[in-house]
Amino acid sequence: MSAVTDSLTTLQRIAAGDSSAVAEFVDRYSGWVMSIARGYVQDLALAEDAVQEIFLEVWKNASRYDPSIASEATFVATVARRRLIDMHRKRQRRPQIEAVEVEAAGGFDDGGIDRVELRDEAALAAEAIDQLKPDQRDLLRMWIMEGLTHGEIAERTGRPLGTVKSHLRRGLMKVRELLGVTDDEEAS
Amino acid sequence: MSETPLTRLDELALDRSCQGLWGADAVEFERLLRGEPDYDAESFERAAAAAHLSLVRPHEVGASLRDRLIADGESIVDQLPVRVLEPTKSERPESSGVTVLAWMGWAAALLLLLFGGPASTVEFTPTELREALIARATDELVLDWATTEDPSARGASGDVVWSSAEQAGFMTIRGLATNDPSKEQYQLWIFDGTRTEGNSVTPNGGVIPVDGGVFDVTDGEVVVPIDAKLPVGEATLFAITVEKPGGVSVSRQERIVLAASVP
Repeated sequence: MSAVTDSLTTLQRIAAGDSSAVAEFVDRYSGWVMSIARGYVQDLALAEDAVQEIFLEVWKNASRYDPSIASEATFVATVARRRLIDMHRKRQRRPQIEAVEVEAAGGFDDGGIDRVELRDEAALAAEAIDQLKPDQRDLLRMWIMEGLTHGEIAERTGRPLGTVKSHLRRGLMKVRELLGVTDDEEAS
Repeated sequence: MSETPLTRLDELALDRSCQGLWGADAVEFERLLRGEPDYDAESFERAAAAAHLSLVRPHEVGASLRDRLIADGESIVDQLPVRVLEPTKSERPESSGVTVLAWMGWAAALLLLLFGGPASTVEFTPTELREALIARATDELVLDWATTEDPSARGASGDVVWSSAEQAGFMTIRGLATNDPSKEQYQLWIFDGTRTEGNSVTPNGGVIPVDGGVFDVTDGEVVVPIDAKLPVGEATLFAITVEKPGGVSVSRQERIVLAASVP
Protein backbone atom coordinates (compact mmCIF):
# COMPACT_ATOMS: atom_id res chain seq x y z
CA MET A 1 0.00 0.00 0.00
CA SER A 2 1.33 3.44 -0.84
CA ALA A 3 1.78 6.43 1.42
CA VAL A 4 -1.29 7.96 -0.17
CA THR A 5 -3.59 5.08 0.75
CA ASP A 6 -2.09 4.91 4.24
CA SER A 7 -3.50 8.36 4.89
CA LEU A 8 -6.99 7.53 3.65
CA THR A 9 -9.91 6.49 5.81
CA THR A 10 -11.46 3.10 5.21
CA LEU A 11 -14.24 4.65 3.18
CA GLN A 12 -11.81 6.66 1.11
CA ARG A 13 -9.87 3.49 0.40
CA ILE A 14 -13.10 1.91 -0.79
CA ALA A 15 -13.82 4.91 -2.99
CA ALA A 16 -10.31 4.51 -4.36
CA GLY A 17 -11.05 0.95 -5.38
CA ASP A 18 -9.40 -0.90 -2.52
CA SER A 19 -11.73 -3.88 -2.10
CA SER A 20 -9.67 -5.18 0.82
CA ALA A 21 -11.16 -2.36 2.88
CA VAL A 22 -14.72 -3.58 2.41
CA ALA A 23 -14.74 -6.33 5.06
CA GLU A 24 -13.02 -4.03 7.52
CA PHE A 25 -15.65 -1.38 6.90
CA VAL A 26 -18.52 -3.86 7.22
CA ASP A 27 -17.15 -5.24 10.49
CA ARG A 28 -16.71 -1.76 11.88
CA TYR A 29 -20.11 -0.32 11.06
CA SER A 30 -22.67 -3.02 10.31
CA GLY A 31 -23.53 -3.48 13.99
CA TRP A 32 -24.20 0.22 14.36
CA VAL A 33 -26.30 0.37 11.24
CA MET A 34 -28.27 -2.66 12.35
CA SER A 35 -28.88 -1.00 15.69
CA ILE A 36 -30.15 2.15 14.01
CA ALA A 37 -32.32 0.11 11.65
CA ARG A 38 -33.92 -1.82 14.48
CA GLY A 39 -35.23 1.45 15.85
CA TYR A 40 -37.31 1.84 12.71
CA VAL A 41 -38.01 -1.72 11.63
CA GLN A 42 -39.32 -4.36 13.96
CA ASP A 43 -38.99 -7.40 11.76
CA LEU A 44 -35.43 -8.76 11.73
CA ALA A 45 -35.53 -9.88 8.09
CA LEU A 46 -36.80 -6.47 7.00
CA ALA A 47 -34.17 -4.79 9.14
CA GLU A 48 -31.47 -6.88 7.46
CA ASP A 49 -32.82 -5.88 4.04
CA ALA A 50 -32.73 -2.27 5.16
CA VAL A 51 -29.13 -2.62 6.32
CA GLN A 52 -28.20 -4.11 2.97
CA GLU A 53 -29.83 -1.20 1.13
CA ILE A 54 -28.08 1.28 3.41
CA PHE A 55 -24.67 -0.23 2.73
CA LEU A 56 -25.33 -0.16 -1.00
CA GLU A 57 -26.09 3.52 -0.61
CA VAL A 58 -22.87 4.00 1.33
CA TRP A 59 -20.77 2.19 -1.32
CA LYS A 60 -22.32 4.31 -4.05
CA ASN A 61 -21.65 7.52 -2.18
CA ALA A 62 -18.24 6.63 -0.78
CA SER A 63 -16.54 9.21 -2.96
CA ARG A 64 -18.68 11.94 -1.44
CA TYR A 65 -17.37 11.31 2.04
CA ASP A 66 -15.33 14.25 3.32
CA PRO A 67 -13.46 13.56 6.58
CA SER A 68 -13.15 17.29 7.20
CA ILE A 69 -16.93 17.51 7.61
CA ALA A 70 -17.78 14.43 9.65
CA SER A 71 -16.34 11.19 10.94
CA GLU A 72 -16.99 8.03 8.98
CA ALA A 73 -19.35 6.82 11.68
CA THR A 74 -21.44 9.98 11.46
CA PHE A 75 -21.45 9.80 7.67
CA VAL A 76 -22.66 6.21 7.74
CA ALA A 77 -25.27 6.95 10.39
CA THR A 78 -26.49 9.94 8.39
CA VAL A 79 -26.95 7.82 5.27
CA ALA A 80 -28.65 5.12 7.33
CA ARG A 81 -31.07 7.46 9.03
CA ARG A 82 -31.97 9.26 5.82
CA ARG A 83 -32.69 5.97 4.13
CA LEU A 84 -34.70 4.61 7.05
CA ILE A 85 -36.77 7.76 7.41
CA ASP A 86 -37.48 7.68 3.69
CA MET A 87 -38.42 4.00 3.77
CA HIS A 88 -40.59 4.64 6.77
CA ARG A 89 -42.45 7.47 5.06
CA LYS A 90 -43.00 5.39 1.98
CA ARG A 91 -44.56 2.66 4.04
CA GLN A 92 -46.87 5.32 5.51
CA ARG A 93 -46.89 3.81 8.92
CA ARG A 94 -45.26 4.43 12.21
CA PRO A 95 -42.42 2.24 13.51
CA GLN A 96 -43.57 -0.54 15.76
CA ILE A 97 -41.55 0.51 18.69
CA GLU A 98 -43.10 -1.70 21.32
CA ALA A 99 -41.31 -4.83 20.20
CA VAL A 100 -38.05 -3.25 19.20
CA GLU A 101 -35.04 -4.51 21.06
CA VAL A 102 -32.56 -1.76 20.52
CA GLU A 103 -29.71 -1.93 22.96
CA ALA A 104 -29.34 1.40 24.65
CA ALA A 105 -25.93 2.81 25.29
CA GLY A 106 -24.22 2.27 28.57
CA GLY A 107 -21.02 0.39 29.06
CA PHE A 108 -20.47 0.08 25.32
CA ASP A 109 -19.61 -3.55 24.96
CA ASP A 110 -18.09 -3.05 21.56
CA GLY A 111 -17.47 -6.62 20.53
CA GLY A 112 -14.22 -5.78 18.84
CA ILE A 113 -15.51 -2.79 16.95
CA ASP A 114 -13.05 0.04 16.70
CA ARG A 115 -14.49 2.75 18.85
CA VAL A 116 -11.91 5.42 18.18
CA GLU A 117 -13.93 7.06 15.45
CA LEU A 118 -17.15 6.97 17.38
CA ARG A 119 -15.67 8.75 20.30
CA ASP A 120 -15.47 12.24 18.85
CA GLU A 121 -18.81 13.36 17.50
CA ALA A 122 -20.95 10.81 19.30
CA ALA A 123 -19.26 11.71 22.56
CA LEU A 124 -19.95 15.38 21.97
CA ALA A 125 -23.54 14.56 21.14
CA ALA A 126 -23.84 12.51 24.33
CA GLU A 127 -22.41 15.42 26.26
CA ALA A 128 -25.02 17.73 24.77
CA ILE A 129 -27.84 15.31 25.53
CA ASP A 130 -26.62 14.98 29.11
CA GLN A 131 -27.02 18.71 29.51
CA LEU A 132 -30.73 18.49 28.73
CA LYS A 133 -33.40 18.13 31.35
CA PRO A 134 -34.44 14.49 31.85
CA ASP A 135 -37.86 14.88 30.24
CA GLN A 136 -36.38 16.77 27.31
CA ARG A 137 -33.81 14.02 26.95
CA ASP A 138 -36.51 11.36 26.82
CA LEU A 139 -38.40 13.25 24.14
CA LEU A 140 -35.28 13.60 22.06
CA ARG A 141 -34.57 9.89 22.32
CA MET A 142 -38.01 9.10 20.92
CA TRP A 143 -37.51 11.53 18.09
CA ILE A 144 -34.02 10.43 17.16
CA MET A 145 -34.16 6.70 17.77
CA GLU A 146 -37.71 5.93 16.70
CA GLY A 147 -38.55 8.58 14.15
CA LEU A 148 -41.79 9.48 15.86
CA THR A 149 -43.44 12.71 14.79
CA HIS A 150 -44.12 15.61 17.13
CA GLY A 151 -47.76 14.61 17.29
CA GLU A 152 -47.00 10.99 18.11
CA ILE A 153 -44.60 11.98 20.86
CA ALA A 154 -47.14 14.43 22.25
CA GLU A 155 -49.75 11.70 22.22
CA ARG A 156 -47.52 9.17 23.88
CA THR A 157 -46.24 11.48 26.59
CA GLY A 158 -49.37 13.55 27.15
CA ARG A 159 -47.36 16.74 26.68
CA PRO A 160 -48.73 19.73 24.76
CA LEU A 161 -47.74 19.62 21.11
CA GLY A 162 -46.11 23.06 21.24
CA THR A 163 -43.97 22.06 24.21
CA VAL A 164 -42.88 18.86 22.48
CA LYS A 165 -41.90 20.73 19.33
CA SER A 166 -39.96 23.33 21.27
CA HIS A 167 -38.11 20.77 23.42
CA LEU A 168 -37.18 18.58 20.48
CA ARG A 169 -35.97 21.34 18.23
CA ARG A 170 -33.96 23.07 20.93
CA GLY A 171 -32.50 19.78 22.14
CA LEU A 172 -31.19 18.84 18.73
CA MET A 173 -30.06 22.40 18.15
CA LYS A 174 -27.92 22.08 21.26
CA VAL A 175 -26.34 18.90 19.92
CA ARG A 176 -25.64 20.61 16.64
CA GLU A 177 -24.06 23.60 18.37
CA LEU A 178 -21.81 21.38 20.45
CA LEU A 179 -20.69 19.62 17.30
CA GLY A 180 -19.36 22.95 16.16
CA VAL A 181 -21.92 24.18 13.67
CA THR A 182 -23.05 27.68 14.49
CA ASP A 183 -25.00 30.27 12.64
CA ASP A 184 -21.79 32.31 12.32
CA GLU A 185 -20.10 29.37 10.63
CA GLU A 186 -22.98 29.00 8.23
CA ALA A 187 -22.86 32.63 7.33
CA SER A 188 -19.16 32.53 6.54
CA MET B 1 -25.74 28.09 25.95
CA SER B 2 -27.55 30.97 24.32
CA GLU B 3 -31.05 30.45 23.04
CA THR B 4 -30.76 31.68 19.48
CA PRO B 5 -34.19 32.18 17.96
CA LEU B 6 -34.94 29.44 15.46
CA THR B 7 -35.82 30.49 11.96
CA ARG B 8 -38.54 28.70 10.06
CA LEU B 9 -35.78 27.10 7.96
CA ASP B 10 -34.09 25.87 11.16
CA GLU B 11 -37.35 24.35 12.34
CA LEU B 12 -37.95 22.54 9.09
CA ALA B 13 -34.33 21.36 8.86
CA LEU B 14 -34.55 20.00 12.39
CA ASP B 15 -37.81 18.20 11.67
CA ARG B 16 -36.45 16.83 8.43
CA SER B 17 -33.44 15.36 10.21
CA CYS B 18 -35.56 13.24 12.55
CA GLN B 19 -38.92 12.58 11.01
CA GLY B 20 -38.64 13.64 7.38
CA LEU B 21 -40.70 16.28 5.64
CA TRP B 22 -43.59 15.84 3.31
CA GLY B 23 -46.42 17.79 1.77
CA ALA B 24 -46.50 21.52 2.37
CA ASP B 25 -43.55 21.39 4.79
CA ALA B 26 -41.33 19.77 2.17
CA VAL B 27 -42.31 22.36 -0.41
CA GLU B 28 -41.73 25.21 2.03
CA PHE B 29 -38.35 23.77 3.02
CA GLU B 30 -37.17 23.58 -0.57
CA ARG B 31 -38.38 27.11 -1.23
CA LEU B 32 -36.62 28.55 1.82
CA LEU B 33 -33.47 26.57 1.09
CA ARG B 34 -33.24 27.98 -2.41
CA GLY B 35 -33.15 31.45 -0.86
CA GLU B 36 -30.18 30.55 1.35
CA PRO B 37 -27.70 28.63 -0.78
CA ASP B 38 -25.03 28.64 1.95
CA TYR B 39 -27.33 27.10 4.53
CA ASP B 40 -25.95 23.78 5.78
CA ALA B 41 -29.14 21.76 6.09
CA GLU B 42 -27.18 18.53 6.37
CA SER B 43 -25.60 19.71 9.61
CA PHE B 44 -28.85 18.88 11.38
CA GLU B 45 -28.79 15.38 9.94
CA ARG B 46 -25.22 14.96 11.10
CA ALA B 47 -26.17 16.16 14.57
CA ALA B 48 -29.04 13.69 14.71
CA ALA B 49 -26.77 10.91 13.45
CA ALA B 50 -24.11 11.64 16.06
CA ALA B 51 -26.78 11.80 18.75
CA HIS B 52 -28.22 8.51 17.53
CA LEU B 53 -24.82 6.84 17.74
CA SER B 54 -24.41 8.11 21.27
CA LEU B 55 -27.72 6.57 22.28
CA VAL B 56 -27.25 3.02 21.01
CA ARG B 57 -24.65 0.34 20.91
CA PRO B 58 -23.92 -2.06 18.09
CA HIS B 59 -26.36 -4.83 17.37
CA GLU B 60 -25.22 -8.29 16.50
CA VAL B 61 -25.02 -8.96 12.78
CA GLY B 62 -25.39 -12.52 11.52
CA ALA B 63 -22.81 -14.17 9.30
CA SER B 64 -25.24 -14.38 6.40
CA LEU B 65 -25.90 -10.64 6.37
CA ARG B 66 -22.20 -9.90 6.84
CA ASP B 67 -21.38 -12.05 3.82
CA ARG B 68 -24.05 -10.29 1.74
CA LEU B 69 -22.77 -6.87 2.70
CA ILE B 70 -19.18 -7.76 1.87
CA ALA B 71 -20.17 -9.38 -1.42
CA ASP B 72 -22.16 -6.28 -2.41
CA GLY B 73 -19.33 -3.98 -1.49
CA GLU B 74 -16.60 -5.94 -3.21
CA SER B 75 -18.72 -6.29 -6.31
CA ILE B 76 -19.19 -2.54 -6.58
CA VAL B 77 -15.65 -1.63 -5.59
CA ASP B 78 -14.10 -4.16 -7.94
CA GLN B 79 -16.06 -2.78 -10.86
CA LEU B 80 -15.86 0.90 -10.15
CA PRO B 81 -12.20 1.87 -10.44
CA VAL B 82 -11.41 -0.57 -13.22
CA ARG B 83 -14.15 0.76 -15.38
CA VAL B 84 -13.58 4.36 -14.49
CA LEU B 85 -9.88 4.28 -15.12
CA GLU B 86 -9.86 1.92 -18.07
CA PRO B 87 -8.36 3.77 -20.99
CA THR B 88 -10.57 4.00 -24.06
CA LYS B 89 -7.83 4.43 -26.56
CA SER B 90 -8.73 1.85 -29.18
CA GLU B 91 -11.11 3.72 -31.44
CA ARG B 92 -10.44 7.26 -30.47
CA PRO B 93 -9.23 9.60 -33.19
CA GLU B 94 -5.64 10.74 -33.17
CA SER B 95 -4.80 14.00 -31.51
CA SER B 96 -8.30 14.83 -30.42
CA GLY B 97 -8.41 17.47 -27.73
CA VAL B 98 -8.70 15.86 -24.33
CA THR B 99 -10.23 17.83 -21.53
CA VAL B 100 -11.00 17.05 -17.96
CA LEU B 101 -14.66 17.67 -18.69
CA ALA B 102 -14.66 14.96 -21.31
CA TRP B 103 -13.23 12.53 -18.82
CA MET B 104 -15.73 13.50 -16.20
CA GLY B 105 -18.57 13.02 -18.61
CA TRP B 106 -17.27 9.60 -19.49
CA ALA B 107 -16.92 8.62 -15.84
CA ALA B 108 -20.41 9.89 -15.08
CA ALA B 109 -21.83 7.81 -17.92
CA LEU B 110 -20.11 4.72 -16.58
CA LEU B 111 -21.45 5.34 -13.13
CA LEU B 112 -24.91 5.70 -14.56
CA LEU B 113 -24.49 2.27 -16.08
CA LEU B 114 -23.07 0.83 -12.89
CA PHE B 115 -25.65 2.12 -10.52
CA GLY B 116 -28.63 2.66 -12.73
CA GLY B 117 -29.32 5.97 -11.06
CA PRO B 118 -28.51 9.59 -11.51
CA ALA B 119 -24.79 9.89 -11.99
CA SER B 120 -24.88 13.24 -10.26
CA THR B 121 -24.91 11.47 -6.91
CA VAL B 122 -21.48 9.93 -7.52
CA GLU B 123 -18.91 12.06 -9.21
CA PHE B 124 -15.17 11.74 -9.32
CA THR B 125 -12.78 14.58 -9.67
CA PRO B 126 -9.54 14.02 -11.56
CA THR B 127 -7.79 14.22 -8.20
CA GLU B 128 -9.93 11.37 -6.86
CA LEU B 129 -9.33 9.34 -9.99
CA ARG B 130 -5.61 9.95 -9.60
CA GLU B 131 -5.73 8.74 -6.00
CA ALA B 132 -7.71 5.71 -7.09
CA LEU B 133 -5.06 4.83 -9.61
CA ILE B 134 -2.27 5.21 -7.05
CA ALA B 135 -4.21 3.10 -4.57
CA ARG B 136 -4.86 0.28 -6.98
CA ALA B 137 -1.82 0.16 -9.21
CA THR B 138 1.21 -1.81 -8.15
CA ASP B 139 3.60 -0.40 -10.74
CA GLU B 140 2.84 3.29 -10.61
CA LEU B 141 5.50 5.85 -11.35
CA VAL B 142 5.29 9.19 -9.57
CA LEU B 143 7.76 11.63 -11.09
CA ASP B 144 8.27 15.32 -10.39
CA TRP B 145 8.22 17.69 -13.32
CA ALA B 146 11.41 19.52 -14.21
CA THR B 147 11.06 22.90 -15.90
CA THR B 148 12.89 24.11 -19.01
CA GLU B 149 14.03 27.58 -19.96
CA ASP B 150 10.73 28.25 -21.72
CA PRO B 151 9.08 31.34 -20.16
CA SER B 152 5.76 29.53 -19.79
CA ALA B 153 7.39 27.07 -17.39
CA ARG B 154 8.87 29.61 -15.02
CA GLY B 155 7.93 28.59 -11.46
CA ALA B 156 5.94 25.57 -12.62
CA SER B 157 5.87 22.35 -10.62
CA GLY B 158 3.85 19.18 -10.10
CA ASP B 159 4.17 15.53 -10.97
CA VAL B 160 3.13 12.85 -13.36
CA VAL B 161 1.64 9.54 -12.29
CA TRP B 162 1.68 6.62 -14.71
CA SER B 163 0.86 2.94 -14.51
CA SER B 164 1.91 0.77 -17.44
CA ALA B 165 -0.25 -2.08 -16.17
CA GLU B 166 -3.31 0.16 -16.12
CA GLN B 167 -2.19 2.16 -19.17
CA ALA B 168 -3.47 5.19 -17.30
CA GLY B 169 -2.02 8.19 -15.58
CA PHE B 170 -2.45 11.78 -14.49
CA MET B 171 -0.49 14.98 -14.69
CA THR B 172 -0.59 17.41 -11.79
CA ILE B 173 0.59 20.83 -12.87
CA ARG B 174 0.95 24.03 -10.89
CA GLY B 175 2.13 27.38 -12.11
CA LEU B 176 2.39 26.63 -15.82
CA ALA B 177 1.32 29.62 -17.91
CA THR B 178 -2.36 29.73 -18.80
CA ASN B 179 -2.85 29.07 -22.52
CA ASP B 180 -5.33 30.48 -25.01
CA PRO B 181 -6.83 27.34 -26.59
CA SER B 182 -7.63 29.24 -29.77
CA LYS B 183 -3.92 29.93 -30.29
CA GLU B 184 -1.99 27.08 -28.68
CA GLN B 185 -2.40 24.06 -26.45
CA TYR B 186 -0.19 21.89 -24.34
CA GLN B 187 0.48 18.32 -25.43
CA LEU B 188 1.98 15.43 -23.52
CA TRP B 189 4.43 13.01 -25.05
CA ILE B 190 5.42 9.66 -23.54
CA PHE B 191 8.71 8.11 -24.58
CA ASP B 192 8.43 4.35 -24.66
CA GLY B 193 11.60 2.35 -24.15
CA THR B 194 10.12 -0.77 -25.70
CA ARG B 195 9.36 0.79 -29.07
CA THR B 196 11.83 -0.42 -31.68
CA GLU B 197 13.25 1.20 -34.73
CA GLY B 198 11.46 0.74 -37.99
CA ASN B 199 8.03 1.79 -37.03
CA SER B 200 8.65 4.41 -34.45
CA VAL B 201 11.61 6.51 -35.38
CA THR B 202 11.76 9.90 -36.95
CA PRO B 203 13.65 10.53 -40.19
CA ASN B 204 16.58 11.82 -38.18
CA GLY B 205 16.68 8.70 -36.05
CA GLY B 206 14.89 9.97 -32.98
CA VAL B 207 12.28 7.90 -31.21
CA ILE B 208 8.70 8.95 -31.87
CA PRO B 209 7.03 9.38 -28.54
CA VAL B 210 3.45 8.35 -27.89
CA ASP B 211 0.92 11.15 -27.98
CA GLY B 212 -0.38 11.55 -24.42
CA GLY B 213 -3.17 14.00 -25.20
CA VAL B 214 -3.80 17.70 -25.63
CA PHE B 215 -4.91 19.82 -22.71
CA ASP B 216 -5.31 23.35 -21.42
CA VAL B 217 -4.00 24.97 -18.28
CA THR B 218 -5.94 27.38 -16.14
CA ASP B 219 -4.90 29.31 -13.06
CA GLY B 220 -3.84 27.34 -10.03
CA GLU B 221 -3.42 23.58 -10.02
CA VAL B 222 -4.76 21.33 -12.71
CA VAL B 223 -4.94 17.53 -12.67
CA VAL B 224 -5.17 16.17 -16.20
CA PRO B 225 -5.84 12.56 -17.17
CA ILE B 226 -3.27 11.15 -19.59
CA ASP B 227 -4.79 10.02 -22.85
CA ALA B 228 -2.13 7.83 -24.43
CA LYS B 229 -3.03 7.16 -28.05
CA LEU B 230 -0.95 3.99 -28.21
CA PRO B 231 -0.02 1.34 -25.66
CA VAL B 232 3.06 2.31 -23.68
CA GLY B 233 5.33 -0.61 -22.84
CA GLU B 234 7.95 1.08 -20.70
CA ALA B 235 7.70 4.79 -20.12
CA THR B 236 11.12 6.40 -19.93
CA LEU B 237 10.37 10.08 -20.26
CA PHE B 238 7.33 12.36 -20.15
CA ALA B 239 7.51 15.72 -21.88
CA ILE B 240 4.99 18.51 -22.36
CA THR B 241 5.26 20.68 -25.46
CA VAL B 242 3.38 23.72 -26.73
CA GLU B 243 1.59 22.97 -29.98
CA LYS B 244 -1.05 24.40 -32.27
CA PRO B 245 -4.72 24.01 -31.20
CA GLY B 246 -5.73 20.35 -31.37
CA GLY B 247 -2.14 19.15 -31.09
CA VAL B 248 0.06 17.46 -33.65
CA SER B 249 0.86 13.89 -34.66
CA VAL B 250 4.60 14.42 -34.61
CA SER B 251 6.00 17.23 -32.56
CA ARG B 252 8.94 19.31 -33.69
CA GLN B 253 9.57 19.79 -29.97
CA GLU B 254 10.38 23.45 -30.45
CA ARG B 255 8.87 24.40 -27.13
CA ILE B 256 9.24 21.84 -24.37
CA VAL B 257 8.01 23.29 -21.08
CA LEU B 258 8.08 20.40 -18.62
CA ALA B 259 9.73 17.00 -18.53
CA ALA B 260 9.92 14.10 -16.12
CA SER B 261 12.46 11.35 -16.60
CA VAL B 262 12.24 7.84 -15.18
CA PRO B 263 15.41 7.23 -13.15
